[in-house]
Parts: sequence; C-alpha cells; structure tokens
Amino acid sequence: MLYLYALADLPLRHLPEIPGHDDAAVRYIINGPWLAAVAELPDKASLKPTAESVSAHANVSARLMQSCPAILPARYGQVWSSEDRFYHYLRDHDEAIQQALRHVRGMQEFGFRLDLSEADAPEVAALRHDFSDDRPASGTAYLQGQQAKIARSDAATSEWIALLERLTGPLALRARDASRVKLVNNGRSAAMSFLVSTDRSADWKAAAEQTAQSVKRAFRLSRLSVTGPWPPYRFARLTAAQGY
Amino acid sequence: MQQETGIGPDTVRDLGDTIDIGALKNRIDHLDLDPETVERDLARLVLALVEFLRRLMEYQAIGRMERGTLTEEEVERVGTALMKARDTISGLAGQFGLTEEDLRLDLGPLGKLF
Repeated sequence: MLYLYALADLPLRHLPEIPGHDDAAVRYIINGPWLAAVAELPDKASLKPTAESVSAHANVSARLMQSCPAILPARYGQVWSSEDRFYHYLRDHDEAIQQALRHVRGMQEFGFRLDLSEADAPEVAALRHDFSDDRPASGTAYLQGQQAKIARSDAATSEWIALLERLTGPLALRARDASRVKLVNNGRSAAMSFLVSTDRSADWKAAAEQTAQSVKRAFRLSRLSVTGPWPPYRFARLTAAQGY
Repeated sequence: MQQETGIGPDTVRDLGDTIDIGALKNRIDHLDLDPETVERDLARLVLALVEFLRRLMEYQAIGRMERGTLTEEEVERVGTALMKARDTISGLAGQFGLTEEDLRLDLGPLGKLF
C-alpha cells in the first residue's frame, strides 16, 4: 500500500532524508520536474491517526517546504493499493498537478483563527444556553421562541463574520490567495488561511500584527492566533485518490 | 506569531479533519471508571447524547414549521414535547450535579457535540 505525503517541485539541491510513519524513510518518485514523497505501508492499521503518525505526516511536508520551491501537502491518509495504480493516477493528473504546483510556488500558508468568547457574541452564545427556567405558555410559543433565538444567532453570526472579514481585508490584499472565513468548533471559532509569497511574508507579518490589534479591539475577550508559515494545506488543490 | 516552523495546532487540526471518526474515540472525554464517579460520568454521556438528539429534532421541527408542513396542532404537540424533554434532561442533569456545559462533550478536532 503506497502512502502519499506530498507532491513537490524537485529540490534546488539534494533530496532530504526524512523519516515517515514508524520512522521508515520517505522515498521519492521523480516525475520530470516534480516528485512524489511516498512510503510503503504494510496495511491499513498503519494509518491509525496517532499523535506520532500525524506528526510524522506533517513533518514530511514541513521538511520538504524547506528544500522545494513548491509543495502540495497531501491530506492525511491518502493511499493507493499499488504503485501501478499510483503511476496511473500521476499520469492522469500530470497537468493538474503542474498547475497546482504553479499556484503555490514560492508561497507559504499563514493561519488566522479567532476563538470567539461568548461574552463578545451574546446573541450567538444564547443559542447554546437552552436550559433555563423559562416556561412558555404553550408548545407553539416555545418553538416560536426557539425559532427567534436561532434567527438572532444567525444574524449575529453573519455580523461578526462580516466584521472579521473586513478587519482582515488588508491581509487578503497582501496575499496571493485567501480562504473565506470557515466556522469551526460548532460556530465557536473562525479560521482563515492566507497564501503568501515568501518574498512578501515580512510585509504580511507586519500587516498581521496591525490587524491583530484591530481584531483584539473588536473582540476584546476572544482568543486570536496567527500561525505560520505552513506548507499550503488549504491551497493544495489535489484531486483525491478515489477510483485509483 | 506562533510556531515559525514545524507542527502546530492548526496543521494537526487540518489533518484531523480527514481522520475517520471512529479513530477519534480515544480523544472524546474518557469515562472515569472510578466507582465514586462512574454513575455521574455515565449520566453525563447518556444525557449529552439525548440532548444532542433533542436539539436535532428541535431544528427539524422548526424547519418544518417554517416550511408550513406542520399543522397548528402538530406544532403545539411537538413544541410541548420538546419543551418537556428539555426540562426533564435539565432536571436529571441537575440531580447528578451536571450543568448544560458538562453535556457538551469535546469531540477533539470536531469541536463540541453541540
């Protein structure tokens, strides 16, 4: 079973030796100007996502990012039943892979995440606090009350997302690509990703510092984290391995 | 700026998005089988799942109410049942010293149960 860590441009110098799952060395399949970093895994049990295996997976992409001009990190758990099938996949997707590599060449990903405090968005939080001593006069009144609560929460959510998008606008302008705000953790957190040119990363980081201040003023009690640089996980437009 | 290089929470979270839910079982708040607390921990798990299902049904009922596919009588009946279920779950949780927050099980990368 062939496990894929990442596709990448050939490195400018030598190919790095990187440990993969269970410390087995990652090997490279070279295909013209790009390579696939893979490993042979004995069975599906090796795919069990332990902290070690997930870290090993992420580490391969992080190390390749240091050596290769462009990298497309694979999502965790991409496998092919045989090397033949993998070659077949590569042949069929050669053009798409090269295009995807062009998109991320010389780029890094930065993450922007806001863990919203309930105090900063009481209308959103109200939806989660359902246990109360309220006794509506009827079942209809109860359902209508819940309906109104959902509507208020939806409106408040749209409002704070719009505010966050407006505040992070300068970061999107300095990036080659940016994801829309993605609500995670049941609407408690918002995550955004930015694809930034390595040449402009210092400028982007300076802008991120300023933006962080604005965001902290708008969401005083929430927790903000800006992370990176990462391999471009969110921007690796790789077709999944299904059917191969 | 956190972690200039290497593996960080965002990366692992991203990777975790694709992980089989079955594999997450060890990350879900574990049950402490201490005889002193086992009753409360089991109650927490059961009530969390029941409350999760109740909320799903409530969303469905509100959706149907908005689409007009429930009669007035049905809205009243369903609303009353959901309200009573809420009060019952809340009351049982209180008996075990559990709050609403306690019922929001942490599912690791998937976030809270509700």
